Amino acid sequence: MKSILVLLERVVGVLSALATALAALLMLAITGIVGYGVAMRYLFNQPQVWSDELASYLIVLVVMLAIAEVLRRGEHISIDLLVERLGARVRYWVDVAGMVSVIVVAGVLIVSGWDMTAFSADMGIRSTGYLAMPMWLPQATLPLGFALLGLAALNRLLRLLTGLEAPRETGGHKS
Amino acid sequence: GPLASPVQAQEKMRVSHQLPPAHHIAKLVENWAADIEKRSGGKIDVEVLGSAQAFKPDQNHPAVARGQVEAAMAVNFQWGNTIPEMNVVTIPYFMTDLERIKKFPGSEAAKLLEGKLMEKGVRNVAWLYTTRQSIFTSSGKPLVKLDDFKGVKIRGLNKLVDAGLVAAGAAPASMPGSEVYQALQTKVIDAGLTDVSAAYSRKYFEVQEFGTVAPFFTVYFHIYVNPKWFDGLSPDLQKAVLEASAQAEQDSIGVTEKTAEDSIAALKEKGMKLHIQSAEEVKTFTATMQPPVMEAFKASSPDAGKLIDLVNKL
Amino acid sequence: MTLAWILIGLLAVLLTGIPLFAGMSLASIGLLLAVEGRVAGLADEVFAKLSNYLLVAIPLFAFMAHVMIKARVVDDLYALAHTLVRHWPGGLGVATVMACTIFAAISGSSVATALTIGTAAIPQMLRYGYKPHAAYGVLAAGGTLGILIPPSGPMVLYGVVSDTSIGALFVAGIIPGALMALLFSLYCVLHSLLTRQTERPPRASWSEVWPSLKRGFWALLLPPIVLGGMYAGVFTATEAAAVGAIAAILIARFAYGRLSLADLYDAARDSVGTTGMLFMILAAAAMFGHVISVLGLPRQLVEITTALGIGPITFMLAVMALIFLLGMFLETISIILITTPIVLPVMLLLEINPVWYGVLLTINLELALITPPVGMNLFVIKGITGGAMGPIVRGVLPYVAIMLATLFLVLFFPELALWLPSTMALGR
Ligand code: NA
Ligand code: NA
Repeated sequence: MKSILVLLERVVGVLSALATALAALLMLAITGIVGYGVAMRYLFNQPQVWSDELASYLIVLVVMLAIAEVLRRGEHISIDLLVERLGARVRYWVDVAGMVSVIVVAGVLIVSGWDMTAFSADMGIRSTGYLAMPMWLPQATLPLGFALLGLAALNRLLRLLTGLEAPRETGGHKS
Repeated sequence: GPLASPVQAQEKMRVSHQLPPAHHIAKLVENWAADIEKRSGGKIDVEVLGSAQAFKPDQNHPAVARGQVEAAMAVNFQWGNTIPEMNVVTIPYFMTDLERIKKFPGSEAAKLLEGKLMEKGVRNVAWLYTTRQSIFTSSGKPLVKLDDFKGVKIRGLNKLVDAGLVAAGAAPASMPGSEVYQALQTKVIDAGLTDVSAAYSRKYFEVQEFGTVAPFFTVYFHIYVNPKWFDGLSPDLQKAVLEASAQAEQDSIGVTEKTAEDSIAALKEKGMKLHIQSAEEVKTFTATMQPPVMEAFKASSPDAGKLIDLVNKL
Repeated sequence: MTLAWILIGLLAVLLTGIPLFAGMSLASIGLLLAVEGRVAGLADEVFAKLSNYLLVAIPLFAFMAHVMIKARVVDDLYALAHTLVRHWPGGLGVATVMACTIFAAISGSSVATALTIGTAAIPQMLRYGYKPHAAYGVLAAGGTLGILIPPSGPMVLYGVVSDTSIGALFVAGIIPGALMALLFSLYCVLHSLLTRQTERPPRASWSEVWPSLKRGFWALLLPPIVLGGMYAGVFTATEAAAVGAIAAILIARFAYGRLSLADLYDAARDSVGTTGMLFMILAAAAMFGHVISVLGLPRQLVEITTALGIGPITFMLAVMALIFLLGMFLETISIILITTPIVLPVMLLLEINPVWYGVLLTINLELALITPPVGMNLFVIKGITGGAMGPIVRGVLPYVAIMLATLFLVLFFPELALWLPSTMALGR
């Protein structure tokens, strides 16, 4: 059992770190794409009609790649002003409840996201913009991202329940 | 809305659309909804969810096809790349003739498009003619001759129509609708392209000195319903929906023509210097702007050529 | 009434301390199940909300700010402000407000502003005998300028939801933001004169001022590039964010020589984390907003307004009071996404200028950041100092009054917000 948990932790750790690294590179790419669009329009009078649409899909991808690692770092905002006055025992159960709710929410969005993606694929829906993007492609990032998030939450939940990890002192308030 | 009627409503019909309440087609939809309630003797309770409050434009199609709402109204642009045939109405100077527009509902051309919509899981009930009066807006110099478009950064419409603008030497740019006013004001772009009533409601006259009114493209909003829901209605209720819809199609023509006229007058009153394209200018612009778009349209799907023939018969 | 119960329920869920996005999503899922018996289309709601080009500005502005933080220019900025005004009565407070104002013109986030300036400023202020509560107050409040002085994440979000030009909103925030900074500074000076409690550092000599001016210069260049380019029509608000980020990279690398490739990657990764955190709240608030519209609350508000014959000023006062109350408990993103769709139809009906409303909303959101019990900037200061909440809350109270005063000024003199954007047409 322990070895499975250790393996899970390693798998989730590597996956979310890789995803975040990819997201960071995409962030640089988005900056470049939007900047390129400005330069082409302002300096060369050649507006690029594809850049804004591409940037908007890439940002969804960035978010979906990032959320699991944000969870692992405990940086999702929570209102812990009541909890921190109560004891460690309460903090533990709040942390457990938090992970369970993340798993439920991720589960709903995986199913719903899959529905959305499958509908777009079946109907051949394309974006109204200049890219004429087959919508299932950017939409598929949603179930994927939430699967990763759910996995990270499940991992933490199991570690909390088996005592491998302690609840956090306070939630993140970073921005 | 609830109708003062002793009859208990049997069917709820929620209609999602993106237009603000003041838009002439939004008002038409309110009338259409009341008409359905009346014709159904209060058995259908129609609830109009405007201003994209229930669903964003992109979500209307899946929401209706899945039955989250019974109906929605979309603009033809929404289908642009999913049902390429839908772009037929935006081909420059092609469907902007009022006689064609009057004959369009119920025509073979409309039926072809309705078949395409059915394949995507929604049943069309009404084609609401929304505009055929476009306006090219600018500051500094008016866009009267084709040469005036050379090197002008103009907000484009879609990939297809932009081919026509490029043929005139313009440089189409893309931009979210909410940013266009500011972009015109600060000259991020040089020119705007929209319909006359939007030019007024979006207050382009505050930041653009000139406007050239042209029968450039046509826009339809159309109402579609969930097929399963519709098939489940009793025949008399189906009839109520279809008859109210046919009436709305007829009404849209007068309302839209009047709105365009009023908008042109209002833009003039606000001090915008308007030029209305002459028949001669229309001919010149058509010759340059239509062919590349027509060619691209015909290449966009196997049925596109057939649709062009059908529209030509109107 | 329904709305009140729903909000109370939501608050109860959130106060348990589970992650905010999960709590809000769960509440939405539960309500949707109760109302419609199913949860179809939630992912569509989330995707539609997140895949908006205009929102790209938020991560890009965050990236720009993270680059500047990595290049350690914040210390320079604070040092500059400090050498300029430290000898004034209340000079350290004024320096903090100045540093916050400058950083606000680089960052779109109030939390980031309070966090970065706070780390540099709090030790200094305490060292020179500033009362802790006074130091915490000026920092928490000064930090909120981050969202009123452009760029501003909340303004981007409001612009997206209400279909209002983000460029116009940004420019409209400049004068109220500067006014508020001025009032904050004035308060610091007056407070110091009246209490005669703070010991003042000596005036900085020119040989001290000059090097810190030189160090701060390049960082001071960034806001004019971003705002000037937008004002002059070189680019739109979203594009300004990308250009700003690129300019920040160039300045950090070549003017300061402080940005290695590893730093650049770290800045990108930090902004990605910020984005993931913010956009999950956005996604959850989108679901919650959807439920509220499914319940028909926006329409009910229109009907009530029409039936009672409520005028614009009464309506605005009522809405501002409501948002102030919500602001005590909710954070900014949720407030924008929950209230805007409800308020918008009435705004259209009463012909209320959406840019003006956007500025008032933003000032109210600034208040939300420092009003107890839930105020993100209060938490930030608490995080930096590790101290108790009491002195922080005591410290911000005068600033709450100043911000309310600014809110009323802009409410009764809309030109404070609307004049500057109206001049953007000067090029004609
Ligand atoms: Na800012
Ligand atoms: Na608060």
